[in-house]
Amino acid sequence: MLHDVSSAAISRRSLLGLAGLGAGAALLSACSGPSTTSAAGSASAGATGGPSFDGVTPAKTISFWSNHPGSSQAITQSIIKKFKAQSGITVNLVTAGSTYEDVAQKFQSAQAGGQLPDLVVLSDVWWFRYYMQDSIIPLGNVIKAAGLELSDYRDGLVADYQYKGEQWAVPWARSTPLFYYNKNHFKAAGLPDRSPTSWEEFATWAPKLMAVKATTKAKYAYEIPALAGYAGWTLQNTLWGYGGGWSKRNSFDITCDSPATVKALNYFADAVNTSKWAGVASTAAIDDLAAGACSATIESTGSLVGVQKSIGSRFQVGVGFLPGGPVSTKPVCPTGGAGVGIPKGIDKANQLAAAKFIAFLTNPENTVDFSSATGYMPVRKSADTSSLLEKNALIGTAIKQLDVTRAQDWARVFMPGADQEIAKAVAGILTQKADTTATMKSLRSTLEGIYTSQVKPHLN
Amino acid sequence: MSLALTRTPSRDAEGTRRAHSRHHSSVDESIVGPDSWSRRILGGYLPLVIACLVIVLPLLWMALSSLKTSGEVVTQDLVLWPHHPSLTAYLNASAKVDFPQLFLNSVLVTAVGAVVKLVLAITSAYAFSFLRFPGRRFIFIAILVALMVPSQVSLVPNYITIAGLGGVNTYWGIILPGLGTAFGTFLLRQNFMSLPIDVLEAAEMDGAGHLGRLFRMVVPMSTPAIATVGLVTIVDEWNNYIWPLVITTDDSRMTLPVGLTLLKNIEGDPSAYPVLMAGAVVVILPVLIVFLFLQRYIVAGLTQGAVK
Repeated sequence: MLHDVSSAAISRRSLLGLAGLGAGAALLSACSGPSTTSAAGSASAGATGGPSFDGVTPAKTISFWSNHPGSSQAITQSIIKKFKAQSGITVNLVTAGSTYEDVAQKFQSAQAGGQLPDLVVLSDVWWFRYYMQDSIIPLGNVIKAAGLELSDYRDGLVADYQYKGEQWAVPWARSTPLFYYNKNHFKAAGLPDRSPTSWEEFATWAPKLMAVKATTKAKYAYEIPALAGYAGWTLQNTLWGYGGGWSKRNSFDITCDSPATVKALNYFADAVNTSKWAGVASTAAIDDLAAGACSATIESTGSLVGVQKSIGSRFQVGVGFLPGGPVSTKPVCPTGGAGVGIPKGIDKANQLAAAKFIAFLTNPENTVDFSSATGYMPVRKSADTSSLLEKNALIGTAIKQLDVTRAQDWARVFMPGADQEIAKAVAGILTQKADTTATMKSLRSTLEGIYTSQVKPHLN
Repeated sequence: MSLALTRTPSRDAEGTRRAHSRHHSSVDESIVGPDSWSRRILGGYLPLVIACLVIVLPLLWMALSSLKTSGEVVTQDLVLWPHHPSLTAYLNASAKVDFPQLFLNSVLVTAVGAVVKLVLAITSAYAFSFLRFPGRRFIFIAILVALMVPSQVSLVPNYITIAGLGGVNTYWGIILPGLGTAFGTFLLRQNFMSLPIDVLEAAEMDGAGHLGRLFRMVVPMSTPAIATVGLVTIVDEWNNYIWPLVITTDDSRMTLPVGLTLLKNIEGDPSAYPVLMAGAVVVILPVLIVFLFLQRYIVAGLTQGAVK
């Protein structure tokens, strides 16, 4: 069910005014995705748990906007069918694009023009913008009314959506990066059948992998994931291992130019430009691993099923925990993926029905079914993962790694357009041999500018 | 290339070939020497062949990849032809995407949108070329400015307007905002300005009104330009992604490009390529057919009056 939050009639003057505002907003959004400005004002202060749901009866029809992460349309539809049979509530699953940016564009437009969904996918880098826009509700009261207990969700995954004492989303299609490697290449190089414990260890392995290039036909020992995608996400692993980061833990204090961060980035700059055992993927590093063009890479857990299908019996793929660094060996694995949240400005009856669906969508049984179909992580502690492990033993590594994950740097996930700026800066260092210190200093001022202009005004 | 070189040699009454004497030939001697063929190949055919390959090979690769297994696509070894050609990817794609419904939606949106756009472009261009009215130059400059503004800028205002009019998740809501075409108006206006004015004046003397002159004189003389605008408009409407995505809230109203997102996995999935290629073939094929149909009008129009 969609909700018309626009006025019934539009006067000529207000239409022209809105058009002018819209044009300005869209012009800004073309650079860094939809902007964070909001007519509703900045986010509300003080933890209240959101609106009260006493005496509210859930609606009979709701809509769920999703980009079907991990090709999840079929499994989501089957969960919806079961939910309808159990609760009598109809959920209309709407395709909101293929990327989280598409969902954001659609959701932002709906807020401006009025036809809102009841439930929307919120990715790690988007939910905080919606919080700042005051366009999603705190879930405390509504999930209580829906009978949902957050204590059974994996702590790290739930914490990802907490800010100012409120819960803003519930984990759903959650992933972490994994270290993928070609077992055949590792064997040919005389290396152990495991992921390296540290990046220093891998630096000693890389020459051995390069020495057997003629046999393995690999171009690189390691391939850095495509920078234009989510460079900021996977690189957090190395940065944390070296004691650095894009920003201080749970803080907007930018540290991308700290000596530790610079040292971590220089590790890869040297690997790409001097030692030449690492390459930078142009599109998807996981495709190159599947093709045998590189011996190892880091990619999302959500890629595991696809890789296994693609390689067939050509070679064996191995997965392991992400390597640590000289300062920290754990937790050095960032969380990722998406959760689900409930928009503001819709009927309470629909918000309650949406919360009931969230509870069902992510219940222990369904989270396992969802994981099995997509490669995402089960989000509930009480989920029985034995069937998952039976079907695919490698997914066990990903599940175990959840215990050593760390919430992402705020500079990456809470700042509009920061991800693109990080990618640009890293690309300069790795592909154009730009000076790391100078590039990171420049990135710092860019990120601080984003914080000052687009984040700080919305925090209170 | 000289015209004399491309003419079919004429025959005399006995049917024998008339010898072309070097002395009587009007062809420049410098290009009739022993290396004229190599010059013709290097200067004419080779660039054409290279250009064709650049365009055709990716399409061919896409079509062949849709018949392969993912292992044959994602590999370092060049697999030109699938070892066991299979339609599995097409079956998988159609299991995920309701192609008949999406195809119908796309055809409807494209047909109505392109026809109305073309009519508006032709009539607007005629007005700018042959009618005198106040502010004509200013309005035309405004159209040129509109041509320079990225479509994303009008996304939110368009959404507000269409939502206010109750057009969310309707066919007319998808079609309406794109009907004004600055590109088509500009291109056709430039073309109409180059038409011989005396022909139009003669038609006016014969009592033809504006519509008569437009459809009996201007349109027939501008077939290539109109066909070009038509083709660009059709491709543009057919491939439009962001607006149909934003304005539809029900999968039954989605167009093909939006529906194809169901084949794409935000997580890297090397096994998905054949299915993606199959989907791409389904989307591209209708546009190729339209192009093959329209290109003869473009070529015919361009060569009209070239040979006496």
